[in-house]
Amino acid sequence: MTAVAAALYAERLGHAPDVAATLDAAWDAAWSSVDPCLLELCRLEIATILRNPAEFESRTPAAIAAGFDDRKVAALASWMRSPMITAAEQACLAFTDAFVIDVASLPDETAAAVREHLGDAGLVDFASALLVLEQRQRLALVWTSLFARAS
Amino acid sequence: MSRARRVAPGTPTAPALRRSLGDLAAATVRMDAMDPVITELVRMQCARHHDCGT
Repeated sequence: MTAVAAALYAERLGHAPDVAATLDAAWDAAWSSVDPCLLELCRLEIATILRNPAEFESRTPAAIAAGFDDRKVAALASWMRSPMITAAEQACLAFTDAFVIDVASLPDETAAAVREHLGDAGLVDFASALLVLEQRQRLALVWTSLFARAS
Repeated sequence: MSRARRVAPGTPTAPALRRSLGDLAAATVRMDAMDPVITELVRMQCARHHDCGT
């Protein structure tokens, strides 16, 4: 999450500290429950789909601490065929695309590909973490859009 | 659309994730600036969009 987004959350949820605290807790839980390097790639993919350049330019400290390879960012545009992107990452990026664009239509084979790499519990944790990441970006974008128009 | 089971029954979620998402849902519905009927309608619309049975 960018510093701007963090400030936005603090500002917009100042009246609801319990909601802000649970959002923060979910964010921390996502990064501690799933491989941070894998999750960082998916966070950047979400930013691409949602047209969120500020989020795309930021890097998550947990991912940096885990050794995130920034060369993979350039490979994201062609993740389906890039040798920089592993099979597990490709499966998770395909899942991310389907999840963000139309989660109700996410194909069984897309979920199965992630399960093949992460296992059953890994798939559950990955989907839950992805929800946290997507929700956070969408909320920040909505706030920015709404309040920018209102001002 | 397919409704095949995607994970084994009883597959756990990481405790921190499960707890925090539950707490978030609870904290959200406790927000009182929004009319509860509108809140419920929005929740149901989200469930329909996500093809969720809740």
